[in-house]
Amino acid sequence: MSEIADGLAGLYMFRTVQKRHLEALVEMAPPVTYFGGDIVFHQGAAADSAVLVVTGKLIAYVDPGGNRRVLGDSRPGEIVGETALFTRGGKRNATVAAEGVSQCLELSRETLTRAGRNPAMVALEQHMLGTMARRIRATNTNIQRVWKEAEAAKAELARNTKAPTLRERLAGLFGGGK
Amino acid sequence: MNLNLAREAGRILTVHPYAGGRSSDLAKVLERCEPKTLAIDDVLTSEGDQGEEAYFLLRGTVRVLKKGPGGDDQELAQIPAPALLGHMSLVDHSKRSATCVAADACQILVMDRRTYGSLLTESSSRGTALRRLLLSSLTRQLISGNARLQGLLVEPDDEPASTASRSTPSAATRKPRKRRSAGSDGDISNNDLLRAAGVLEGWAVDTSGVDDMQMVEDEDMRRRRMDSKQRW
Repeated sequence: MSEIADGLAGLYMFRTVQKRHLEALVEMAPPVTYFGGDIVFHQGAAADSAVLVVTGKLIAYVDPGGNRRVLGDSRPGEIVGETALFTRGGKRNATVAAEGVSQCLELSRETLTRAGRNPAMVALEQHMLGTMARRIRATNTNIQRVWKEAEAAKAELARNTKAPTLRERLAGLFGGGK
Repeated sequence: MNLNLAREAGRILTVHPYAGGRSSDLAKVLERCEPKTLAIDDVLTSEGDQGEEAYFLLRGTVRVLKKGPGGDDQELAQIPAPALLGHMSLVDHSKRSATCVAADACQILVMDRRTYGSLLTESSSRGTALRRLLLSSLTRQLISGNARLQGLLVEPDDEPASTASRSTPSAATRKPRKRRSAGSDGDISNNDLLRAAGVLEGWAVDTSGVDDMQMVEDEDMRRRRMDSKQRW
């Protein structure tokens, strides 16, 4: 079995998938090795594929006015840029770079079509569903938090015009603004 | 309920397109669902309840209500058929995020957790159809929700007039914001936040921020969409 398929076999999402199916997935989704500092996606670039991290670590950041702000990292078993698989014409929201030697599988819309019934793809799709739902819930929880604070924020602003506005509170959570 | 499932599946695919989606495959998913009818004001889901079902709304319109910080119900959206509702709870075992009430007589197909769990792990064409349908729907929720959030973070007078209605600037291109005084109209309102939350939950998915983007669809789907527009 190839080294990358060995790596896939160690991921939780593929725990019940036979190795021959993982090998078949590797044939349809080309493995890519990134070295520390290599850029995987550039912010603003056209989004047409996603990557599954098999080993190593990727970091996502935005760079407003030369001030790099790290948004998060992705470790083995995590998928980056998966919305590109279900939309056309989208752009990358952040730059993604490797933080060390990182092996990834590159997933394209064609991979989805070709590997549709491969049990490894079934497992990958289930995993993506969980990932997307978690992201939606996490963002929504933060919005609800700000929503609940809204009345207090207005009262505070009435007393002190330098108190953070709702927009600033939201920006603190989601990285916009300053 | 006398239903042509292939036709119903085709209608659902017009609002939840995904690459390679075929109505015959999705019809096999619908075959596993139980029909249900609602009269006006019947409650389909209650906010805070454990969600054990997802719903394909085939006819009628559903009102979506969410409790505000003061505990009062606020209408978030009215969703007409065809639509997929309540699937987030099946995906992540979360509680219902809103209350859904029939705005008029509704025809629904109900998918319970057991059926969902069994289809989700199938490598058959119907299993793939369900997974891709859900992935396509969640992707739209994520993109629309994020676009609306980015829109909230930018004050209206920071946006160039020519692009204000089409896109939101990235953090890198955004101008510094001006501080607002208390009571200023420029800040975010509770309704803005309610709408952003609703979009993320899939209750009021709009197309703001995805104007230049299209969900992946193939030639068959384009034809079906055009067909459907002519019929309905």
